[in-house]
Amino acid sequence: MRTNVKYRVYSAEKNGRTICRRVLKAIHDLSDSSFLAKSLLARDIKAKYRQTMLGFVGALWPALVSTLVFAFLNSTQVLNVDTGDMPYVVFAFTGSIFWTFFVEAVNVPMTEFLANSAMLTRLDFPREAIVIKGVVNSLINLAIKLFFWLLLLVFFGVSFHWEMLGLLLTIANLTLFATGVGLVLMPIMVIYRDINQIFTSALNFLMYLTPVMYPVADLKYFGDFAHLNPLTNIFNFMRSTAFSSSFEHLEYNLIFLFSSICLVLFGWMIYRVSIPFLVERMQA
Amino acid sequence: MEPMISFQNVSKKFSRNIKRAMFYGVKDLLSELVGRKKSTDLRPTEFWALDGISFELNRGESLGFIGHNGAGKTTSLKLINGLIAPDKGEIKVQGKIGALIALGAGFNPVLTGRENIKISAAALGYTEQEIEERIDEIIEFSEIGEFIDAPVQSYSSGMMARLGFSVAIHTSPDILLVDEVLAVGDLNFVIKCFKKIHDFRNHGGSIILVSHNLYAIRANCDKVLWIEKGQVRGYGDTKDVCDEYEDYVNSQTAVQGEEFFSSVLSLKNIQYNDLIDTEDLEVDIEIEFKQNIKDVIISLSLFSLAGVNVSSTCHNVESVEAGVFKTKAKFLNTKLSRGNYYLNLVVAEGNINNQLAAVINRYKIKVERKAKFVGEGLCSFDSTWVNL
Repeated sequence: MRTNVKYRVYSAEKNGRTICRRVLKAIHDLSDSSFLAKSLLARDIKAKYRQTMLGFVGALWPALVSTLVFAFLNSTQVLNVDTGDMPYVVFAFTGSIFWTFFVEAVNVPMTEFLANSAMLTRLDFPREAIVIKGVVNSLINLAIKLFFWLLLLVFFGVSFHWEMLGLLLTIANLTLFATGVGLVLMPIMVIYRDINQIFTSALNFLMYLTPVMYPVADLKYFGDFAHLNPLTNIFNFMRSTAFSSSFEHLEYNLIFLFSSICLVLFGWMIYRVSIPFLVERMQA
Repeated sequence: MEPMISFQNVSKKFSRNIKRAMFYGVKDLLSELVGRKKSTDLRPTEFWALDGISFELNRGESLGFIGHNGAGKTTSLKLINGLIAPDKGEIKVQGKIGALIALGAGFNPVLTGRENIKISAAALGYTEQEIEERIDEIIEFSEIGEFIDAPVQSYSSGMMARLGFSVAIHTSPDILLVDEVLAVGDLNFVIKCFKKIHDFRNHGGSIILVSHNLYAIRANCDKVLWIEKGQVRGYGDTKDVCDEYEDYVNSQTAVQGEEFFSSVLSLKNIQYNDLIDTEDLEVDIEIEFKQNIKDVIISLSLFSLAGVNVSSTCHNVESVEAGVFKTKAKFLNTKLSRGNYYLNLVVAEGNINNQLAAVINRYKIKVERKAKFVGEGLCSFDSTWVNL
């Protein structure tokens, strides 16, 4: 039983919520969340696989479809991407599994909030649990995609090397950055639903400015713009570790990791402060 | 000793306009983030959902919340539970809260009852080990039986409520918030729930019970908080506040009821008296029949406001002739307890279901008890005690 909640004061005047106390409470809640997050994750996975035909393979769909679309465009010369020795399908699929993961993860705080609003408006439980659950869920989906990715590499005879472990840094970077952005934007996207649509379209456009389906060098007019895009070097690093046994932009990626951690902490605070406001406006 | 819950001048405002509410939400959120205080004045479209509410709940006490829909009862529970924050005032809560508001929140329809118990319990703060320890007890209490391993989408609403109640009551809270949840489920289960709640109180637990059922409030609460339009209208001893509330409700409710008359008769006049203590209830009735009718039944019934038939009497007339028919009925030595009742009239031909006329929930009778009333219930029989 959670025993930390023995004595609580909710006050409008004396704001007992100093930064220090807030942080302590947040950390406490975080440690309390793990079991609930695990239970909720188990619930979602069980429910999902009881109601789907494809089961695990379903996670693969979005990445697979966009890969096929781009492979088709490339084969018809509408798009002309030079990927050297590497088959274009491998190039595109690699980019697309990480991109779909990013998009999924960035939406986690919002989708989880809406999906669990019945619980949020009625029960007092550590609010971190639903986000942790969502993030772990998208990591599981990523793992499924990576498994098929490895099969694809074997099929095309791409060699394996230890530098591939650098992908762990990419995964950490994408997870933290996406979660941070998602947490910061969650309150506004829950309050104004159309912001979510705008955001989704913006993300779509961002994909074309990121070396997901083709190297950014191929971008003529938006080239400079693409270099301002913080994700460009994340994807470049990812490709270099996966395919050319090198760590391009390693330093940038480490700084990015640190910044993303700060972003997550900031977003976490916003998330915690905003929940009572949102719950107030969600209730029937 | 510090109270388990204390409200000091707590106020909470909401906006009637959803777009404004969202806009204010963004504004308040931003000022909260930069550490400024929220505005404590009403802005356009806002109103006080709770306005300066103060009360205390001590250990082992049971407090009833009464008031009309929208008076602010559920908002108060949400504040206690920490789901929303007050705009003014201070709330102190000591101890673990078990909320019977959210029965079945977080249930997933495709999962089985057993799986849902685990999730629901985790959300209520159980540890894995505690769930393992108590799951059999929870399942047994819920009386779901073999359906526990069937998906909950196949459950009836009563089964769902039973399962939810069962999980919530087994969380061993210090304070139990009960919000009208006992309205679902069959009578056996409701009785079982109240028994469980009694056990809980006997072990020193504190309760807040929200209900529109004054019998439940009178039977289960030590004191009562009556909220009307966000403000405290009464706070204190259960009997006093409930009586006051009942009088208020009666003065507010316009007597409407329904009536129906077939073309063969019309009601000329009906007169009856209010009751003090065990007076007789006398009813004078004048009915004008347009034709001769055989086998007429005139029935009078007393109903409580909650719709319980307290007593009825029937008058069989072999035949009436066209014209005004006068009759007088008497309920002798009435023993009704204090409150208001409806006198319902039915005129039928041949058998009681073949109605010629009916007047339902229209004639209100007020019962006062001047004598010291001991005991509870709809009526009090004369009783004697002999020591043997």
